[in-house]
Parts: sequence; structure tokens; C-alpha cells
Amino acid sequence: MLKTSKFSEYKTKNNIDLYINNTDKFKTNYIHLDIVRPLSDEKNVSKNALIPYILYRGSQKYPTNQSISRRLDELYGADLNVSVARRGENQLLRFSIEVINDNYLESEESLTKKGINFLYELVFNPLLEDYDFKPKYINKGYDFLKEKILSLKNDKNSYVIERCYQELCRGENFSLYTLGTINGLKESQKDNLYDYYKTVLKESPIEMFVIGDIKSSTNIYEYINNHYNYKRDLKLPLNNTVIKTKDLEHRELEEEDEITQSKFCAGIRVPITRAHPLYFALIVYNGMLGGFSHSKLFSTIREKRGLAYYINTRLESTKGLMLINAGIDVKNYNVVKEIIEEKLDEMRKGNFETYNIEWTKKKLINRYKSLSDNNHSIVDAFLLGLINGKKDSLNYVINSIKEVKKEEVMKVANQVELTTYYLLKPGSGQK
Amino acid sequence: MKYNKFQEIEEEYYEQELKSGLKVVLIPREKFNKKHAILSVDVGSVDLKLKDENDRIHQYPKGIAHFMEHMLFENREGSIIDKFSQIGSSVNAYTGFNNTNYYFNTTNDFFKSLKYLFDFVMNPHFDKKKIKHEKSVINQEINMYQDSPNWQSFFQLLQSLYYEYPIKYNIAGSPKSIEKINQKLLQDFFNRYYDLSNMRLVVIGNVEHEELFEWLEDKFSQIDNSNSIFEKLYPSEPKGIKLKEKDIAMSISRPIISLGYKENRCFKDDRKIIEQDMTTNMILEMLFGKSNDYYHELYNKNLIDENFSFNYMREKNTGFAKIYAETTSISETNEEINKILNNWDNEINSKDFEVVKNKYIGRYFRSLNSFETLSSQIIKYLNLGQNYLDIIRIIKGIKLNDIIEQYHNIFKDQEQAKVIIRKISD
Repeated sequence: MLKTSKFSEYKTKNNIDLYINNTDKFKTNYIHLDIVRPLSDEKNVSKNALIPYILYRGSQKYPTNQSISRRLDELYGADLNVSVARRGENQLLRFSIEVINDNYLESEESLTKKGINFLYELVFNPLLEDYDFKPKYINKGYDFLKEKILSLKNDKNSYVIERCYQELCRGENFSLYTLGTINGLKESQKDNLYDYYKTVLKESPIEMFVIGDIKSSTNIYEYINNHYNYKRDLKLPLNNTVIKTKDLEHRELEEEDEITQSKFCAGIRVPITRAHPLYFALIVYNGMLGGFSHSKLFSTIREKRGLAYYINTRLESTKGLMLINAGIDVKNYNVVKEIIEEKLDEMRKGNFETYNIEWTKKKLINRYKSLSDNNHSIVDAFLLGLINGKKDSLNYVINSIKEVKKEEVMKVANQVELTTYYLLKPGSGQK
Repeated sequence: MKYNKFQEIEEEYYEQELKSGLKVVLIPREKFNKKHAILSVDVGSVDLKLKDENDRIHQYPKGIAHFMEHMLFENREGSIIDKFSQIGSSVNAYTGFNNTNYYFNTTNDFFKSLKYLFDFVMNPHFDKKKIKHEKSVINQEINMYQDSPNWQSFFQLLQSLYYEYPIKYNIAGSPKSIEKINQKLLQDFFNRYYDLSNMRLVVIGNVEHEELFEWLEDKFSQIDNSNSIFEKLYPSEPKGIKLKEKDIAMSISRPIISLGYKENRCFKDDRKIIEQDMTTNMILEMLFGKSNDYYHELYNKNLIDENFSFNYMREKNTGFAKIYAETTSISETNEEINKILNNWDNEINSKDFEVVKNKYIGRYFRSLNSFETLSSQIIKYLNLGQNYLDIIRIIKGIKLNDIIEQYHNIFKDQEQAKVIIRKISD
């Protein structure tokens, strides 16, 4: 029997969508809040990206980063995370805090409620100076992001993946880097950022999650409903993604860097996203092609031919994209490309072993079941469902995967289109 | 069989040594779907030399433990990973300085997976062709790490800190060293180390203890505790550090400096080792943690950024502290950090210490959430003769005096190794 717990859904008086999952599986309680913005135009993306990193520097109640850290220490080393992420053409401003379960401490007041309060202070009561964020903190946020943007290049694999997305979706909003651009950051500083943030807080969907051993969901709901007082009138949609399926451009690019191992990434368009009837067949397709070690690409390119140290595929299920990503010796590039085309073709023709589809399904089911054992994954998966307007239960997902037919996988295979090849190879050339 | 209930953290614990010599631990987790088992072999990248029962010396090429890990995944029946895939389980492995670990995760066929795990770890097939193939795969792996600035700063620092001790070598070896690996060496290495008495099994998940222990006794009923006799040999490591400063260049956006301190008091007493591990990490946290003034001074002067990190790694026979910063002002950052490290004695106070202790307790609870983290910690601590589920007692027992003593031992006016990675073209 599947051991899983469900989210209870609430809406607070100030239009926060609140999801509470009461489970005694974990040693900690996890509180997570996403502000969802459309991913569009360089300047706005950069502004949005700046905000969490400004807020993180100080709030009215905890005016310095040091006082924030001290507060976290008081909460038994609570784990605070702020970040920015992209899901489809949506930009998420993410804030979370994880605290020990109240069961394990002999304290009078609930650590969970203290955590909830802390998150409110951080997000809704920023430190201000002359009606804007404190300039020093804006600069800190700016420096931090600038460095992050520049250092993407240090992590070659992430760099290659990002470049491949950019080329695959050239001209579309998805090609905007989640953390913004140097130029966009410079532009953002001309405006009053706090004014902008007020609009963000007023009009954007806010999705909030509490998962852990909280005894009473209603009690937590009421607590948040009372304490999260910021007045909001929700205007924007939760999903802003435009899916392109026609007139796809094909591109092939090579860049050089001071590296010893080449890295490449192939970009594929998939006209199937989470709410599509063939979505589960797509998950199976991805697994069969390159998601697992028994998959076509891994078993041929790494195991049989020893042409790569790693090769895998990944799905972006909100925008409808798939990437094939590998680390190879540059002299093998053409062979690897040929094998990829060959394998895509085999999938189209239904030329695959029955074991591949069976094992893939089993592995996927194993993965989905395990997902419910991790509090962060539960929240992440649930949020993707919300964005795509499809809140499938874990049982439904597992059953749907079980029922995927060979013909459906072939249907998927005939709808995907590889349009982009990107290679980063050894050399001295800048870019 | 040993059974313990740890009320404070709501955990149960079973431990037993089987007739075959295999040591087994089970942590039952009824509420979870996932079942996790890890088989840890007491051999790692530092084990390159041994003396057998006839006083014969066996020497192995660098990287052999890691190579073995790769080779065991290929046996006569073909790919091991495929076998696990068939039943929806996933299998993986990693090699550390002191042990090699094989593990699987599954949500259904636990005992079948467990059988597969022992089958492939205990039945090697050192085929010439496969050895050749694996060499090319591992060469790719070595190359991949060469390009990682983080990884470079770590191993370059180890090479500066250590004269002889093999912790200084890349776990995977080098293209040159693995070239020497052959069937005979692998078989010899396997015969010595891959013995049940040299292994631990840790299981976490919804598994019945009686069923598990019975199954294991049954499976290995033919095997007596053979206890192959040998002595691991390590070169003697002089005190002090080998190289004070090293400068290299890579394709990165901004320079990196890492500073290292070497542990010169390598106790054999297990409990002391754990205390040393915790106290040193607490000292670093008190010095450079985000709640403290120093971190913010450095940060506000732009001498460090969010990538600033520190930790102390205590392994069998070795220990070292590492401080890592990305900065455009290398020498200034270095100077300021040194000032803090060498002048802390007057400021050590019990209030900061209590806060850091609480923080450790929080971190400890978080670590219990993930099966993989938990099992690796269980193994690490068992190898040091302690139970990780009982560690909270040791954390609470650390005294301010321990902190002061260890600070003087490892940091105060002690030798420092420095690795600088500059931008190419700088």
C-alpha cells in the first residue's frame, strides 16, 4: 500500500493559496512560499531576481543579515532558503524555512509558528530607507547576482544546459536566464524597486506550503490567516507560458573554453505538457530514451561504446522541452550525434525492447513513491501541478504510468523534434 | 542482537554481527515507502598497501578501490544496473577515502534487491576487455573533475597539506596509475578486502528485523567468519605541512583561495576523534558563521561572498580544516582571515558556544530525514565505534574547554597551506 499524505487546501483572506500537509513522517516542519511572476523581459526578470536577495539582507524586525542569522540560530539552527527559479515561463521568488518538529523540543511556544512569523517578516516587512529598499542592500543584492550570473561559466555543465535552452528558445521568454542579466540589473537600479515590489506583492499569486507534524491543519491555517495581514488583490494568472509548436528553427552552435572535456547539449521541442493526455507517455518516453541507465542513450553511448562519462535526458514539463546532455571527448562528437539521431528514429518506429518500457515504468513508479518520502520534493511536485492546472494524486500518477501503451510512446516519439545542437569544446576562444 | 530505542529522537535501532562476520544495522521506518540498504566495504582510496599473513607486501596502483567499484558493476550476466531496473530498484555506489559503498533504493522488492546487491558485490568477473573499457570511462571521469574549480581547490590543498599519506591522491587515481591495473591485481585486491567480515550492511525502511536477520543468516549459512588476516599499511606522515603556497590558473570568473590546516594530533581513541570532529567544526562556525561579526566584516569589505565556506574533515588517521573563499582581493582576504584565526583566544565565550551547540542539534535532526545521509553517517560513526543515533549525547557533552584546547591545537599560530586559483589571462 502506498504511504502518502494529502494537502488540505485553503485560501487566506488576503488571497494566499495555502496548502497544508499534516504528516508525522519527518523530523522537521517545512514552510515554503512562492511568489509567481511572468518570466518576461530582461529588466523585469532582473528586478524580480534581485528582490529575494535584497530581502535576505534585512527586514524591519531583523535589520541586518547578522540579526537574521542570529534569529535562525535561536530557532535551533533553522534552515532558511531564498532563491529564484524558472518553471515554464514563470519566475518563482522562493522563500522557505525548515525547523525541528515541536515534538522534539521542550519549548513552550511552537517553533513552527515562530518560523511562519519569521518568513512573514522577511517577505512582507522589508527594511526601508527613503521609501525604497535600503540602498546598501540593493547594492549587495546587485553584486551578489552579478557574480552569480558571471560565475555560471564556472559550472560548465549548468552553463551548457543554460546556453542550450537559450538557443532552443531564441526570442522566446523562456530563453531569459532566471537570475537576469547584467544589463537588466543595471536598468533595474534606475527605478524605485520597493514601489515595484509593492505591485508584485499586491498582484502576484502567492502559493504557500506547510508540511510536517503540525497536529491541526486548521489551527495552522487560522494562524497564517491572522498573521499574514498584507492586503492583496490578486490579478495575475499562475501560469504565463506560451508553448511554441510550429515553425521551429534549427540551429547548431559550437563555442570554445579552457576545458579538457567537451560538453554538449541537444535541444528538443515537445508539444506535450503536464495537462496533455499524452503526458504520462512522455515521461515514459523520456525515461526510455535517456532517463535511466538501461535507456537507449546511456546503454549505447556510455555502456557499449564508452563514448561518454555521462549522458542523460531531462524534461521541462511546463514549457514542453527536452534536453540531451553529455560529457564527451570532442573527437567523438559526430559519432555521438549520429547515435542520437538513430535512437530517436528507433523510438519513432517503435523499435524498442519490451523490457525497456517495462523497466522504465517500474523505475518511474519507484521514483514517484520515493518522492513522497521527501518533504521538499512533495512541495516541488505539487507546485508544478498547480502551475499546470493539474493536481494529480500520487496514486493517479502511478496508475497512469502503469497504463501507458507502446503506441502512445510512439505517438510521443513522432511529435518531438530535435532542433538544437550546442557544443562547448576545448580551445582558447572566448565564448 | 542489540536493540535500542532512542526516545529523544523517536528512532529504533537493531544491530547484529552474523556468523559470517557481516555486521548488520537496521533502522525501521514504517511510515516510509522507500527502503534503503547500503553495503560498506572497509577499503578506500587510501588503502594502497598491505602485509598478508605470510608477511608479504602487496602494493596496489592509486585508484584501484574506485576501479574495483566500477568493475563490480559489470559481471558475467551483463549490466547490474539493468538487473535492478527490472524490478524498479535503483543501485549506485561511491568510493571514499576509507570505504567503498554499494547501495540501492526500492519501494517494493526489498529482498530481491538485497540478493542482487550481494550477488554482484561478491561475484566479480575481471574480464580483460571490460577492464580496458572501464579505463576509458574512468579517464573521462577524471577529466571531468579536472575542469571543476571546486574540486581542484580541494585536492590541490590536500596535496599541499600531506607529504606521504595517500589521502592526497585523487580517489579515482590518474590516467597513468589506472593504466597499471590488471586482472591479477584486481583479483588480489578483491580477495583481501571483499570479505564479509570486512563489511557492514545498513538497512533503513519498513523492513521487519526478524525477517532481515533470518534471511541474512540463511543466505550466508555456508560461510564461516573467515577473517582474512592482513595488516593495512600506511606511510608515516611527518608533522607539519608540505607546501605553504600553491598558485594555479583556470578558466574561472574570479579567483579562489583555499586555506588548510592539518590535524597533528591523530588520536586512536574513537570517541576523541568524534569530539575533535565536532569541536573543530563548532570553532569554525563560531569564527566564520553568519551569525558572527567576523563573517559580516569580511562580507561588507567585499573580501568574501556567498560562496564562502569552511569545514573540518576527520577521517581515520587524518584530519584537516579547509576555508574557501572566492575573491578578487586574494592577499587581503588571506590576511584578514589569518588575523581572525590567530586572535580569537580573548573572545571565546560560552554564550556563542551554546548557540552553536543548538544549531548543531537542529542540523542533526535535519540529517535524520534523508535515508542516504543517515546511512552514510551511521557508517562513518560505526567505523569510529559510535552510534550516530546516540550522537546528540556527545554534542550536548562538549565543553567550552574542549573548544579552547582544540583551537590552540589546530589554529592558533599554526602552519597554514594556501592554494590560489587565478583566472587564466590574469
